[in-house]
Amino acid sequence: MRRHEEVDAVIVGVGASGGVLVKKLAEAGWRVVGLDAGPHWNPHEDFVSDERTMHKLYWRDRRVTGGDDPIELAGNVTGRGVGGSTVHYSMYALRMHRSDFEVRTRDGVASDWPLSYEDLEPYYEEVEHELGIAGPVDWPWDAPRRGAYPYRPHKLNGVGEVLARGCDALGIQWRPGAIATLSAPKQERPPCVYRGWCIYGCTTDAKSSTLVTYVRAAQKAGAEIRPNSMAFRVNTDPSGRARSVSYYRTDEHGQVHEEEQAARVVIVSGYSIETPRLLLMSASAQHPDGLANASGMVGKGLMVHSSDIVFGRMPEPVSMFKAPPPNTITQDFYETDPANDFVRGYSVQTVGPLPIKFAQNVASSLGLWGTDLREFMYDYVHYAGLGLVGETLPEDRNGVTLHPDETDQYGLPIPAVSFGWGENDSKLKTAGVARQKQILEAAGAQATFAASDTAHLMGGCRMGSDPSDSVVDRDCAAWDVSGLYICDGSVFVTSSASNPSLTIQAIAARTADRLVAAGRRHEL
Amino acid sequence: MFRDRPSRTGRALRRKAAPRSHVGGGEWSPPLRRLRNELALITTASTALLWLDNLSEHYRGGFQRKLMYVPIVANPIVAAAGALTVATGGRRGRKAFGLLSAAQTAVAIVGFVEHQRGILKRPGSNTPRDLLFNAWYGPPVAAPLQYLGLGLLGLMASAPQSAAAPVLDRVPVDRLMRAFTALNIPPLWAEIGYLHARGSFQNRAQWLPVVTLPIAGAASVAAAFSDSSTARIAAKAASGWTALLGAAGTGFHLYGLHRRYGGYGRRSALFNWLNGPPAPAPMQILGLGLAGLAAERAGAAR
Repeated sequence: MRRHEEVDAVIVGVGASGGVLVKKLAEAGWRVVGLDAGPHWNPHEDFVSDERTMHKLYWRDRRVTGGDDPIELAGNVTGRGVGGSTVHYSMYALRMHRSDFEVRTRDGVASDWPLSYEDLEPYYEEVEHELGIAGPVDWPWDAPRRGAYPYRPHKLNGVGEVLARGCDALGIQWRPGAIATLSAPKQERPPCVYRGWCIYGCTTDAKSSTLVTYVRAAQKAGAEIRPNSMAFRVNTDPSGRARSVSYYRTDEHGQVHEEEQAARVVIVSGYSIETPRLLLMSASAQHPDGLANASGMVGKGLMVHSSDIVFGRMPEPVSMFKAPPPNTITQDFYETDPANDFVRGYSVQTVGPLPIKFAQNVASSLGLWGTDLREFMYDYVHYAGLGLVGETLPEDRNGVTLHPDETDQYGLPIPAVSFGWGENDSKLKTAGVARQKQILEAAGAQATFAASDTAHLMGGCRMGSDPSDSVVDRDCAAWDVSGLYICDGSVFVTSSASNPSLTIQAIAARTADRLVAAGRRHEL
Repeated sequence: MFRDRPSRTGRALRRKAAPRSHVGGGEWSPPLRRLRNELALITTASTALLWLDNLSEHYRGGFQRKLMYVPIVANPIVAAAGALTVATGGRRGRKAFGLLSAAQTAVAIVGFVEHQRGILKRPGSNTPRDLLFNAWYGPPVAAPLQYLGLGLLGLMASAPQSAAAPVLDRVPVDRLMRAFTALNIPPLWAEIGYLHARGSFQNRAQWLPVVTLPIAGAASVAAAFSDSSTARIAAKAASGWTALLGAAGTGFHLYGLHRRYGGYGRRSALFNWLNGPPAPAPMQILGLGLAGLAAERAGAAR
């Protein structure tokens, strides 16, 4: 077994959060190693315009899904490879609202975050500038922003116009979405050419995944990115401090080697399934229930977004596959409204599934197959799709455990994921779908159908101010294990009704600053 | 008036042209004749370049309306008359050039109105706030006014002496051109400003025309009211700088095309030309600046 020389930080998972961490820590002069289970993609050579081929961007290792309403796990909820799911995410770069951080105080549900909007605001700004977010001139929802988006919004595409027309007719506010693809050049990266394959990997580097932004900057600053390295254990020393990460590295011949990377600080950024899994797999005599799990909260409180899509058939061709699918948005229904029979709310956004994905939606929602499906698909260009991002409340029964018998290709226990909608979630979902339908009809849709789906993962190692009911503190430091940090979407306390990537990245940027500051004070 | 150092070619031209110049009415002084020829050349070249820009933009707009063909067809006819005027030193084609230039101003005004209608038809135009967004991605607000400017310039280059004399008796040609420059700058400035804002001023050079054109415009306005030598220096500086901006802008826009995906590659060049920074657009400013400089030289000869 190869043991690598100790570095300042090892980061497990170089995705939305890990990418930010490796870059910021390396630029602060730290010696940094980023481990990623998947390959280090070269967008110009590895990405092609083929839906099926690009499924390689998803995490497709063996997993078990269960619970009352099992969620799909092998699709776009996770990513594999450097850049993680930011390589295939739909690029909405939204800030959470101020209310999202205090849902217990305001709505009496879930828990308040140990962070406030004001804590994250400077980091939202930092990440938006680093990624070059293109957003509207003004953002009418939540309290005002301090500054404008760094880049101007993209033009409306066909679906964008449908949402805009529908909202105008109903008196609903809409805006071009704030999205992570360039509308003008930024350093070496060119502006978007509206190819429309964003969610299957951008071949032009216009999409601001961490793969082409933070990770490139990190490598320039001297960070080492070690792809094809699947972490399976965080090792602690007798004093209980995290000291190293053991991982399986697959070499270019497909041979698997066990290696160990020692570090002063271990940061786990594997997202809501792999992070709890790694902590649970790191159980030892010292930590019999898994690492950092004295509260018993590791793997609990997993959330998704209800992301039902309603498609409307328009009289004119819409060509929803053209231009970035995340095109326009309304957050008029984001906050708790006393008139509703549920608390919290949802965003409605445009989507633009490519033909195979659309055919899947048609087949599964309308039960069409064979000739019927083929004939239906002739109308593909006439369909406009509106997606929901509906808030889901955390519940302890939803989460990740290790499967008792089944193992993956490395012989590691596979994760078993359990999910079921709560009553509030279901009511919210129903209201959202009705709203999507209403907007499409107001825009002139002749017929609509809804496809049920979920998106995003949040929670599983939530942050808090009390060690008895949370896994990490507000700085993402594990309560029970010194030298161990957990920094990714799993620390989310609530899910909000915003796509989570920007908040994940803002938390990572803040965590990096806190680590650097603590390092300067010799407190690590 | 033109006793001071008429050039040899000027004398020769005058001798040759004199018998024919009755077509245009009275006699033009050599500096003015030269200015008219220079203006004809500048107008013709600018019109041809505007055609390229116009064709690219309307093609990108898919010629959604039949009206979009009008400037594409009309422009080359005007440019051809201008080219004939330039090639023959004004002996042929000048009258046609004048009439066509007058017609071009009408095309410009219709185009201007239609562009505003195009913007107002887009979703969200019920709120003034969305006008900027719709202008960013709708038909460019002030672009058709370039045809108005070129039409007027063409008229200046072709008006018969009898028609021009009463005006020029009251306002000397250099001051007239200073006022013309000053009138041209606000729409150009606004157009450049909002389109560079769409590009987020990602290159700091995008600020150059936005910050300096108003100064050039103000200098031109002030100089239009004065015959002093200071006014001439200010007007020359304003026009010289405007011309320089145009030349540099073309360079920056060509560089901007290179920065887009695929740059000038065989498979990307056309796409980038259509969707990237409009390469011929800054040449309109170059033309305006050169016209101003030419008028200053003619005025200095008074």
